[in-house]
Amino acid sequence: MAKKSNINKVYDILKSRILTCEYKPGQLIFEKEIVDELEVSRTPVREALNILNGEGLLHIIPKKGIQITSLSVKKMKQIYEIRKILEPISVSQAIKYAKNSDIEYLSRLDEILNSSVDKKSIANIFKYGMDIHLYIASISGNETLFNILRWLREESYRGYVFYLKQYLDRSSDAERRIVEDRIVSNHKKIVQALKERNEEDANKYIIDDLDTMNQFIIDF
Amino acid sequence: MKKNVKVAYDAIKKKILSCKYQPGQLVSEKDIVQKLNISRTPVREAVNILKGEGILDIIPNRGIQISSLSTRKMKEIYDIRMIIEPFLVRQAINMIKPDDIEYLTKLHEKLIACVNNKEASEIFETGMDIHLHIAHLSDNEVLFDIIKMLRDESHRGYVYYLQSFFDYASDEEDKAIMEDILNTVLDRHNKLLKSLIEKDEESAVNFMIDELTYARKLFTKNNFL
Repeated sequence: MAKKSNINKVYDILKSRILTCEYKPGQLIFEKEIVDELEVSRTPVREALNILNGEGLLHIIPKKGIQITSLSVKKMKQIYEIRKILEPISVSQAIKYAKNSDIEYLSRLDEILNSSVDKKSIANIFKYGMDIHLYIASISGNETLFNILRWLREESYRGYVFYLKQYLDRSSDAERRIVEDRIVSNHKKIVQALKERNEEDANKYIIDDLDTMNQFIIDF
Repeated sequence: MKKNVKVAYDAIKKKILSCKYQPGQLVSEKDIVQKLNISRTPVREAVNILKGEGILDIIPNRGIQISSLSTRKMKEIYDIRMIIEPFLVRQAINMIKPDDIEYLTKLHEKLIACVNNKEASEIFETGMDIHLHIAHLSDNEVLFDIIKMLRDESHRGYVYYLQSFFDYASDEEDKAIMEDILNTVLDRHNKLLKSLIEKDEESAVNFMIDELTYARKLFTKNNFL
């Protein structure tokens, strides 16, 4: 077996490239290129690829190469529908159990989201936005709900990054500004509503945020 | 998965889910290797996958520990199913074709047989097959996967609960309670199925909620998990 640290290193690099759409959905990549570029032997690369294959992020096509799994609009829409059912429950429960330290932590996550928008990193906008949603789920005290939402994040990460990027690339600077402001302000309002223990507002802003993200997921 | 890894994986998982390996029990790798008559490498690989699924833990120098169960988790799972499954029923009801009715009816007959034979694991699996087919009809692949995950997470808890009833119901009173539970499970599924066939959406949603509420209650009354 290859050294665990090397497998992890290769796995982390490849996964990050897939999730941030540096490797585009549907793109073909080659084992040899990865081996040469990362200067590691074939075994850890192969093991990392096997794990990513198991996660459904790529397919290994014998004698051809490795294909990055393509995205499905239908699946993204389904994930959005499910989040719309589950997240209001997560928020309502979280309001009951949130401690002051939780609210402080959420405010910090919100600041991180703000600064990632300033740096124009789309993958980070999604990641830190989702961190807020997941932290809320963790306060809700329902571990199963948290696990489902975490799984949905993994399943939709690439999709959100891909569609948001496509949308922003097509937009003018002014339009881009509006979208970024909305994402930031939705999360700010969610955190504020939790702080005030205002269940109705918290639910409303969670749904607003999901609707905002959903509008980017369209067929081209 | 390689063939002998898959064989080992299936065999070990089945033992865990049906509570042949009890929650919390320590099992040695050597024991598994001997019983399955498969070499150590595939067994180890299968054990690692199952560890990833959270149903066992590897304790260095001691062996493999089957994860324990929690009533809290069972309640969480039913809480979520109560939110998701009415939504699935609404999506599925207009997609039902004669083939599906035939299939669902067969599953229900199988459920009756399993109940009569008091086969805890089969009762759970068959009941879940009915729910999974509804999820399948809803044409929502992501929700189908979620129901499958929840099934796998609650399989052991359900079997453990039911099996201990089968094993320890000694007096008449216990037996009557057990019969009542089993009859209620059958009755709820029967009503759900009927309203699906009649495409009566509101009734189907209500029976679905009824059924899940009843199952959830079973885990709140008892603290033995």
